[in-house]
Amino acid sequence: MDYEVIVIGGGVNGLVCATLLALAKRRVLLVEARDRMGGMCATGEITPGYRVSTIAHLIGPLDAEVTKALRLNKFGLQLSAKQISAVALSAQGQHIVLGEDLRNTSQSLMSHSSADAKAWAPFETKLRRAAQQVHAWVKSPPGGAFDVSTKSSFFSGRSAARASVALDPEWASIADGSIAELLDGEFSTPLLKGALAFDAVMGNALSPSMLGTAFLAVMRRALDGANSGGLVHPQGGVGGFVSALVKAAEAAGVKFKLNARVDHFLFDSGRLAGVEFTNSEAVYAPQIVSSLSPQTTLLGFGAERDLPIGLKRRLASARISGCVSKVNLALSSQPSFKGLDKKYLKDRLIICPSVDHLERSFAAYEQGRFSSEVSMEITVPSSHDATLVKSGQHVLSATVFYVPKNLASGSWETAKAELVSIVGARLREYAPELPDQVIGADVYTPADIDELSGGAGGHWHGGDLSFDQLGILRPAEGVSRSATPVPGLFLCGAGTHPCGGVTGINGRIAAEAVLAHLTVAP
Amino acid sequence: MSDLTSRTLTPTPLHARTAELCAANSWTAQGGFTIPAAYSSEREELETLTTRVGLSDLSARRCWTFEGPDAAAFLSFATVVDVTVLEPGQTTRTVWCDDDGHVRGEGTIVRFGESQFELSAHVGDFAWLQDGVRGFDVKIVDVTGQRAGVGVRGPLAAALLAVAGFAATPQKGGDMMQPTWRQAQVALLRDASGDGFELWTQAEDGIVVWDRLFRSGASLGGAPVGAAALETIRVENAQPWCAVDWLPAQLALNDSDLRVPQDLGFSPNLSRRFNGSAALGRGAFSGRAFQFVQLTAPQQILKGPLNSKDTVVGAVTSQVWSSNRERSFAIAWLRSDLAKLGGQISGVGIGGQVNTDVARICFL
Repeated sequence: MDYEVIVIGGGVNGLVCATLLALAKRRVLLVEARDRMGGMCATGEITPGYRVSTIAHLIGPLDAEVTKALRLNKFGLQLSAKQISAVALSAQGQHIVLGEDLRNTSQSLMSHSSADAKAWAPFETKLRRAAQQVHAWVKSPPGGAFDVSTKSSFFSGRSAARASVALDPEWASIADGSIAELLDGEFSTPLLKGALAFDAVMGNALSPSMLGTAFLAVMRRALDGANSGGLVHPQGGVGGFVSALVKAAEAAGVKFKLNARVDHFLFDSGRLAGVEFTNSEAVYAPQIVSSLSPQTTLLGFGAERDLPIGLKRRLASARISGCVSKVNLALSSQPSFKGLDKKYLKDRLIICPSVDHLERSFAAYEQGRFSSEVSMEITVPSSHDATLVKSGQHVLSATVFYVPKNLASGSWETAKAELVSIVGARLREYAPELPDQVIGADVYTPADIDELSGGAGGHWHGGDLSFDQLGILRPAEGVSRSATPVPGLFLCGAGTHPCGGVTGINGRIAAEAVLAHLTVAP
Repeated sequence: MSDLTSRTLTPTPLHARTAELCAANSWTAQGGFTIPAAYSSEREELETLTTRVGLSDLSARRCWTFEGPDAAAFLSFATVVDVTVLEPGQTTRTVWCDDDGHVRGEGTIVRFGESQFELSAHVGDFAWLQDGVRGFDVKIVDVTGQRAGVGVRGPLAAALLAVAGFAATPQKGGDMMQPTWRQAQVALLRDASGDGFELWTQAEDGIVVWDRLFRSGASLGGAPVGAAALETIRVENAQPWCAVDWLPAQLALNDSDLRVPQDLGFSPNLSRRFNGSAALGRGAFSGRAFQFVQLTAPQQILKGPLNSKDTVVGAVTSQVWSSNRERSFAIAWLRSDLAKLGGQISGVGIGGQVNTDVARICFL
């Protein structure tokens, strides 16, 4: 066969996996259905001259082992902003800056509640300590590391994996609960609680009062702590990051095939042998890694006959429907938010006034609607990246939360304009002049994101991060360790452990699984 | 109110006749349908079954059809039996397992044609089977309630069928014929134990078939028999039932309730790939710990634990008092080392301990 491994899908995890395998001296072909790499990480134009990250708008926190192995700065990765904080926007201009520095956040809280300002440091410290306890779990294959006996396992997480997930009893009981309940027990400021709850549940079809959502706050910090650099803005948008990844992959020896949409797997005497594309071309390799959704991979390409029935059932019933829209705006000038220092435009600006707002928004989502109180995470990348627009012009990128993929009534054709109108009205509360600065807009609904990501739900994280879809249950019991019941077929996409996001962990874990497999059956 | 009333009773396709005949007005639920528990009295109906011929309504049984080029391949993957070797007209008993090799259900597969099968079972598992067809070119349809089934049982069962105009009947348990019987398409099966027959037809032909059999049986002393008498015969004949004597894996509350095919008397070929085979091959079955047995005693045996030397060694799962034979019979799980014919086990009876004899080792 021409290749040892075919990697399907040129998203970040596919690229990371392919590169790590190539660095381990394996012959790797990466196939991508579209005419470019990057998947959900791309930089595109809203209108001519206004470039922005189309779907994902930040990268990181990147897996430390991936960072070390790929050396992306050598391949042109430059950051336009790092050490990104979250800013809970206040319509009255009394914003709260939630950053690494505990004292700064406390100071920021003083204007809202001195009690909350005092409570912040102990709370965040406890949360970070809890996160330390799940670092190893987040970055390692669920159930423990693979038996990679190869000496070139420079990215093996074996030592880390020996640490089991064992939260302190105090935190275990809290993490079982809801983020809303946790925050109610600690703070009184609605804006603070709204932003923290938003950060915990963002991207999931979970309300902040659902059990298990407190753990997501811990998990988010665990990703930060386990990885390097936190969230960053790459220069040129996330497309700039993908360019560096592609160069790293090429340098490692990965071959690429674009415009190659997989139709089905090929089997030879019952063994996986390659893939056939929709144009009837075929390529052959005994190992295949898919960064597409587990559902598409296992139920859509002809491998489903070999799957246990219970697994088919679990995969088909996983909650993977998207609930996030992306709205990108081209602006004639720099936006100005009430009372916000311009230096914070490099940060994540969160519009979520309270937990109640999230709850109401979720209630509308459950009924197949989007609320006029949608919550948002906003970035203004043009404030620190001159490569995206001409001087003086700006772009704004907003992830809009609790937007259903399937509307209860009407179609997205007409609802897109309504969503933009709601986003505009929402922004006007915080930046009164902003809607008048808009000269172009792009909207990606969950249905659009679903289509772009291969038609398996369009979920921001590849599937809800609820206890029944995490760890050894992600994407489903029986396929949680990258390998599948189909010998030679592996998963590396956002639907696998630990979650979605631009971390590269999923791709690295899959590469470890493939190498372990090749060690046993070379 | 009328809506509520109509929902509480789901009639079988034979309900118009069984209701007319059910003088005792004694009903029971089976598989979501309402069927007579007894038409006259259980004692009279037992006598009918043991001395003459009884007709029963089997329509409550779950029934699913499988049609398409991959029907045989799918059933051979979903269940532990390789049905590709069945000829049209043949039947087989089978069980199916979850991914861990634990049994979810049991039933009878009938092959009607190259790509047409039916699976009938006492306990529903349609949704699970339907989830399994993904990737196979097969259409699965739940036809429960769309088929009428009539049981013909007793020493004069073959005679009744002859009077009714059947020139030939299946000779062995599990055999099937598909005669056109005076314009009605029927499937005529000899039941697995060989003691009786089952006639299956489309729901709309059910009443016609029932009436013909009923009239044909009159001269032979035939009579309708209800679920209570059939239950007694089942336990007397040592036929364990799913969800009664053993729990399907999806209903099991703890690991001790889980059964593998071998526990139920099936010895699947583990070199063949079927659902659960990988787990079974890895050792989910490591020797039968418990065995189905039939116990008998001159006193009443009650459901409950079985003891030997002050240790619990099994449990009675079904029991009946056979008024004809003036003994009680029970189906029980018993520790394999004690499951020997003629062995004595202590069970629970009315008023205390009762000594029982192991009368039979039984399988599905």
